[in-house]
Amino acid sequence: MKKYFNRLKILHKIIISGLIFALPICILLYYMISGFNNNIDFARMEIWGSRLLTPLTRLAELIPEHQLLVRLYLQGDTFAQEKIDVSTKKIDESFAILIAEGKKYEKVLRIDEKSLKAREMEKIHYSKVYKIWQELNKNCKNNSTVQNDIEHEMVLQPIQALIKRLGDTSNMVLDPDLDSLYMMDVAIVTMPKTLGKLSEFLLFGESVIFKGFRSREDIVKFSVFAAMMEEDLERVRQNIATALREDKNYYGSSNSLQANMPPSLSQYESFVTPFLVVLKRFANDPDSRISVAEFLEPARTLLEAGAQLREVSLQELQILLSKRIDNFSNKKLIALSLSLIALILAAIIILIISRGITRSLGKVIDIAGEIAAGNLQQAVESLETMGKSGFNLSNKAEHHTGQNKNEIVQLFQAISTMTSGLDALLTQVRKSGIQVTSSSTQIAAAARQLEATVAEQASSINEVSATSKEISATAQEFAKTMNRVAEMSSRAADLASASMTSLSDINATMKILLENTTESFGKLRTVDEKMGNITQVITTITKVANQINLLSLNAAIEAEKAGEYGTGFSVVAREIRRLADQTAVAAIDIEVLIIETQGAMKEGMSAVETYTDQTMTSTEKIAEISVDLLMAIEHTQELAPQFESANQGMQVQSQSAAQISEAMGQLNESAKQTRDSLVEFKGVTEQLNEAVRDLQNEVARFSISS
Amino acid sequence: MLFLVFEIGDERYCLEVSRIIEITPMVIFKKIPHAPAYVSGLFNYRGTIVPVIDLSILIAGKPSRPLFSTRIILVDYVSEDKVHHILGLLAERATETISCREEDFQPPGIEVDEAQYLGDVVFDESGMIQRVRIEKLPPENIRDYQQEYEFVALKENNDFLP
Repeated sequence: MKKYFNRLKILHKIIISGLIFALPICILLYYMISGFNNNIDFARMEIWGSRLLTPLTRLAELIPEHQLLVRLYLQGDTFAQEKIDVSTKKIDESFAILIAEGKKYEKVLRIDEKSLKAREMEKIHYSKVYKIWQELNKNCKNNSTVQNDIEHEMVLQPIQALIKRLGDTSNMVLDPDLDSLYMMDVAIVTMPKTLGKLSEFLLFGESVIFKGFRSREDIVKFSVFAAMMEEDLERVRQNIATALREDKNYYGSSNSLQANMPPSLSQYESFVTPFLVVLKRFANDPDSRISVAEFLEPARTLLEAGAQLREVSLQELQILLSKRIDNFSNKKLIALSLSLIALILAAIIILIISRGITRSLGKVIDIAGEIAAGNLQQAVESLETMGKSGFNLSNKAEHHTGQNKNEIVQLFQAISTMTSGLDALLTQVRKSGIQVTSSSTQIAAAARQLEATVAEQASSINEVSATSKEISATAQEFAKTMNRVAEMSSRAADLASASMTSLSDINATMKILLENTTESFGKLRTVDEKMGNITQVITTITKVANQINLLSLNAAIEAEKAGEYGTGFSVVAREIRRLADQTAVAAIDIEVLIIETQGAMKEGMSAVETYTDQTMTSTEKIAEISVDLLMAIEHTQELAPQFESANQGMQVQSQSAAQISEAMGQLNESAKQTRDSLVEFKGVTEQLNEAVRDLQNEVARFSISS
Repeated sequence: MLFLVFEIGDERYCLEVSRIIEITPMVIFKKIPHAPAYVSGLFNYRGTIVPVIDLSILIAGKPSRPLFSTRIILVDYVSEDKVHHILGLLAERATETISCREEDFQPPGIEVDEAQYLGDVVFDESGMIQRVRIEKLPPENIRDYQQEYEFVALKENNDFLP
């Protein structure tokens, strides 16, 4: 139901709401109109009832009159014959009216045979009464007085019952308005009753007068009737006065009522008074004589005046009722027309409102559609054109109009604000998207770089780990080496103490060597001296040979200069030179040999000298060295425990290095994890990048005002 | 023709005997300050001041060793203005003579400007001997130390002994 209602357009919704609102209004209108109709029907029933009552009350008067006339006729009154005919004619006329009216209204007023039969009152139906009357009229002049009275009574009784029945069914006793109620009382209740009593009393009075004497009982009856007449008159007077007084309060005062009633009443009063005088005289003065004519004449005029008053009041009652009907009819008409006008107006207003809303909403929907399609620029233009064409969309107008602005205008303003906001937002989003893209690209690059760095770090850590392992291994190795060194140093210490003894041996040997050297140096010198002597001899020989050579050379030169004279001499010179040369060569060779030997000797001597010096120096140095060595041995012996502690330190270092290696391994693990995280991070960054690209694509759908 | 053979370093050189005045043993020289290195000094030859050039320095760049065979060769040096001078040449192993003809000498095929005094080459069983050209020998400035000398062939030669 709700879904179906939501699917309807605004116009249909408004129409449905209008119909829902119109429904109770129509029902109220219906009840109001039916109320008016009820009132009108009520009044109409009264009118119809009064119309039927008119002949009936007339009959109720005429029947006793006829009875009286018949009685007079039977007593021998000759004038009565004409009067009876007149009366009969009147009664027939009344019956004709009754029957004519009765046929029209019997069903409405529920006096038809069927309704009466249901209440066992079928005898009082007007057609049956009319039949009884016709029989009575046929037989009245032949019947006795008693028979006539009975028969008249048989006609009068159903008429009176019918009057009572009509009074009930025509709602007259329920009349809501005071004026008509009192007029009804006068016209239908009081006056007919008075006139009926009067007619009956006339019969009684005539019989008393006709009898010739008056009993005490008769006199009481007369005085009682007089009092009753006065009482009735008073009641009529009061009723009419009340009706006249209240008349103006009910649908305005009726001019005919105000004009006709007082004269009729005063005429009736004027006839009541002489009749009352007759009655009182008859009651109070037992000796007075009154003829029938004297008695009947004022009574008859009174009857006529009463009838006239009744007629007039009935007429006025009908006028009042028809006035009420007119009033209600007018009211009904006004109510109906007003309601119709209101409904039509409401329908027109609904149409205008819904058309306005639909049109405005259509524009809003178009703009919203353009925004949805991404044509923000176009939407802004549409809004601007709309703002020019009558909608106050600018913010200034908003301030000026204040609270008076209409929802549609508010909606347009809201959409305008939204559009500009969306525009700004989209621009911002686009910018932000570009920024985010560049940022994420940077982040990705940074992540890649970081990844590379982490990879490098991991490899570095690996290297460090390996290095620390190596350090550990090296430290262990070194510790072992230190152990060995410690052993070796202790062995060295042993060796050093051994070498100390060797050193003292060396010292002794060196001393011996020094002595030997000095000795051989002396021998060498002796050899040198002897070699010097040989050299001198050889030098002399050489000099001689040299001189000879030189001489032979100069001789050869001179021989050459002498030419062919010197040839023989030159040969001699050559021979001499050859001899000298041989000697010289031998001498030179010896000389050279000796010189070389001497040089060698000298060199050997100096070498021996140097050697001796060096030996001495060495001996001294060895002594020094042995002292140093002693100290060194002591130091070496001291070193051994230090090596031990160093060894322990090295072991500790080795352990530390192993721990470092482990820590490095853990660090390496962390680096790997970091690298994995970075790979994930890179993936996430790429996703971010993609998301931003999507967002940018989405935003790119909107054409924004740059 | 007779040539005097001497050695400088391991190389053998020769002088024509006809230009030699006398061969004397080596003596102590008077040093000449600021003179070129190849000028060994001055010595008194029979009353004449004679400049001595060390051929070893001149040719090989190192001085002659003080050997018995290292001798002073006194030569007759004729300057460009045809004046005769006595010039002492110091050389090692100046103990042999060689006899050969002028035709036996062959040009070396190369002439160096700095050593124009080295002339043609002759060879015997021991190897090549280069001839020293006396006329090209001393550089110009040496002449200032020289005295004029009258070269007379076959002059009295009896008092050359020390």
